[in-house]
Amino acid sequence: MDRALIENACSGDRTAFDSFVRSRIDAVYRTSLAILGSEADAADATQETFVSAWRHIGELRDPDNIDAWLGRINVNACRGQLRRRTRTKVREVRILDPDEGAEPASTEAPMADRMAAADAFDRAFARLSIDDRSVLVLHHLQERPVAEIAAVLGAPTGTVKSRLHRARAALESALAKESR
Amino acid sequence: MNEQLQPTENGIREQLSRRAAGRLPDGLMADIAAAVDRAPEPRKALRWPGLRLTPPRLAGAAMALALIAVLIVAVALPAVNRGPAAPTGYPLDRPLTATELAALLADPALPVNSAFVAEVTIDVRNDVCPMNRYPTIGVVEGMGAQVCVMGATLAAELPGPTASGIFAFRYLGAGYLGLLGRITPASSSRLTASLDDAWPGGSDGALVSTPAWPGSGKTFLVEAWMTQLRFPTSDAAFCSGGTPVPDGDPLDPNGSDPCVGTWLDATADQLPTRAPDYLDIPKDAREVEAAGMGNIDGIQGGVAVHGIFVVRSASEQCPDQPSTSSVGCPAWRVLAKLADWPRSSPTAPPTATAASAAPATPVSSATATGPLAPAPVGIVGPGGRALTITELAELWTATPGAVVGRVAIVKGPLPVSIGCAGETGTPPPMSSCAPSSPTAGEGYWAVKVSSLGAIQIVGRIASADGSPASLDTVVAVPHPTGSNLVVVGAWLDWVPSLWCDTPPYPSDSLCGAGAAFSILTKEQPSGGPGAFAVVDPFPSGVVGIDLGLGGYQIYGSSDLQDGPIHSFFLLNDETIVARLEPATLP
Repeated sequence: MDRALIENACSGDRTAFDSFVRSRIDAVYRTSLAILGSEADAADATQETFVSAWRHIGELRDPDNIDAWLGRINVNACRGQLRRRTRTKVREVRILDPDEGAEPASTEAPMADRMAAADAFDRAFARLSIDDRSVLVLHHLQERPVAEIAAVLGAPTGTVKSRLHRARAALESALAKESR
Repeated sequence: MNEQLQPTENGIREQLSRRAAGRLPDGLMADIAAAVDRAPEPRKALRWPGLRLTPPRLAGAAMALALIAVLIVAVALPAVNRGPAAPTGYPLDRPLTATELAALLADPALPVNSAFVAEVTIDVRNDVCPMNRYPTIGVVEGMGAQVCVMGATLAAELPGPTASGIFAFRYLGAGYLGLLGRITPASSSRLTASLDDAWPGGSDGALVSTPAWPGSGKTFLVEAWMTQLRFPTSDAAFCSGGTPVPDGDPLDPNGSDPCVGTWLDATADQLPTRAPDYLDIPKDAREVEAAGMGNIDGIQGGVAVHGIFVVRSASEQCPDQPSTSSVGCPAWRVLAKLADWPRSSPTAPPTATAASAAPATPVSSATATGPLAPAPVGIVGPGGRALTITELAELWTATPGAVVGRVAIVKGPLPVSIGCAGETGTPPPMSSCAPSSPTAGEGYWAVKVSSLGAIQIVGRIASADGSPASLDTVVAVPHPTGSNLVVVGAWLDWVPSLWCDTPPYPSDSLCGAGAAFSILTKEQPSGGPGAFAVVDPFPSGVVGIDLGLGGYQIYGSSDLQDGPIHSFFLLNDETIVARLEPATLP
């Protein structure tokens, strides 16, 4: 997408903005879908992303950073979507004792099939925080370098590295729990 | 430099690719286009106004004269980028109509001391509305119920028998408005002035002749960012060896305080936030006097606050001139910060006929893009305990700006008011104020005290001994105390939203979009700022409340950037009513 079109969009040109939406909608939707795991939520987050982008596009100071800027809006939209979906009264959650009524975990059994693996992954992924999900999607799915992820998340690169490390550890831990 | 981390694990990428696979939903592009059609126009962030130069008042007349030459040069310089635009007017750059004012006053939740601007007619008379704190100026016409206008020093401004115009008021209590002044519009087409305008009556930077300066005494509105610094009395360099002065009256707050510096600017990111930078005031900021107003309207020190301010031009003795000199220095005294509009959705009362008033202009359109009202700040006793009514009266007497209109947690029995002895029509000496006879209620109460001393009960606090409850009490179902109103001590953790996370944000005007989350937790969250607020679901074992609003709505500042903070909160069920600050007792 040429810079002139982006600059026109930034100045409030609606036609240019529509072209911008068409060029980014697929990536935004797939990012949302990977983070949220629900087509309906992903569609809502995608719509919210572009509406929010339209409202604030006049504040974008450097058109060269529009993708990082849009990515950041997208992550925030996903965060809001997830929060709306799950916002319930928070109660104390008792830590379940594995010996208390749970099935004995089978650590040796291999994944029976791809369906089971996908299901385990989705349940484990749902255990992660929105930030952990986001950093994993940005890095593993979109394969963005750390510097770009830092721009999207608005965090220093060192923080991104530690977040990524933490997110992967959290995913491993969640997968381990799901496999029990 | 390759910043890529370790090679991507195929398993993770494969699963994420699977999650992200599939067709775009039919009609999504059309839905987005329709939603964008409905959305407000993009905000314009950049402005290109001309430069101005305002010398600090304390720099004195000599510096003012010296800088006039610089001013001449400065205004001739090319325009500069001043950053984010101030996005709001009042409301939509017009005053409230009489009908809207009537509806606003009918809102029982309207906080005392709220300031607003309305275009009304005042029936000027002083034989109604007896009050021992202020003289009566008149009655607002077309309100349905009687609404009295009281004044501190402005009675002579309205000669009568009727006065029509645009006025700034503070809400004093049911049926009472306090007059801040008649508003001089910025121009024939705009109500609110900006930093770049020539302010009404302005004599910027020049010496004036007192008391004949024609600009003195003009009251007008300015939309700007306010930054206020409060220097400790131990800071000889910036407190000028002085001592803090009282806030003054809400209708006539004290302006100058040797230990307070206040500036208005068009942007939020240029003003000093630390005392040493006081000497580096941006040349395009205006120093104003807002010491008392800052306390009365809860302006937090060191944080840029956006709003529309009621300003009055004044002429004061120059620092290096004898008191007998006829030469003075112009000053800008800030009287109030207007309440965010719409602060709620008031419903017009059936009695508000306002026959002479123009039909109310729908203001609901302002709701979608309007500013967010921060949660109110209240007061509680040291350590979170309830105040005694005597302590409340002492606080009301000593620091009314920190008490009036705010929620206070007190131990019953409650008096109906805090009365003041004094001649009718004159402000009484504050030392003569004391609670009236108790009439109601053992137990613990959340109350509000008006500037007139009337006590309004917000509700009974669920507490056995007046000390803060544990968060367990709030999340327990059913509530063991039988009441939903409770004071808790808890940790607040939050995540700023996209447009709120750049200091000195957050601000009301920039935090309306995007998501922001905060939680209260019983135990101190670990893992850095926002570590818990973004966890979904919460970690096992955490007792917490998802507040569903941003930390900026509770603190209105970026104070939480350094991590979770412990404070006291008044909660109604699981909704935050106010953040409570322990009072410093006189």
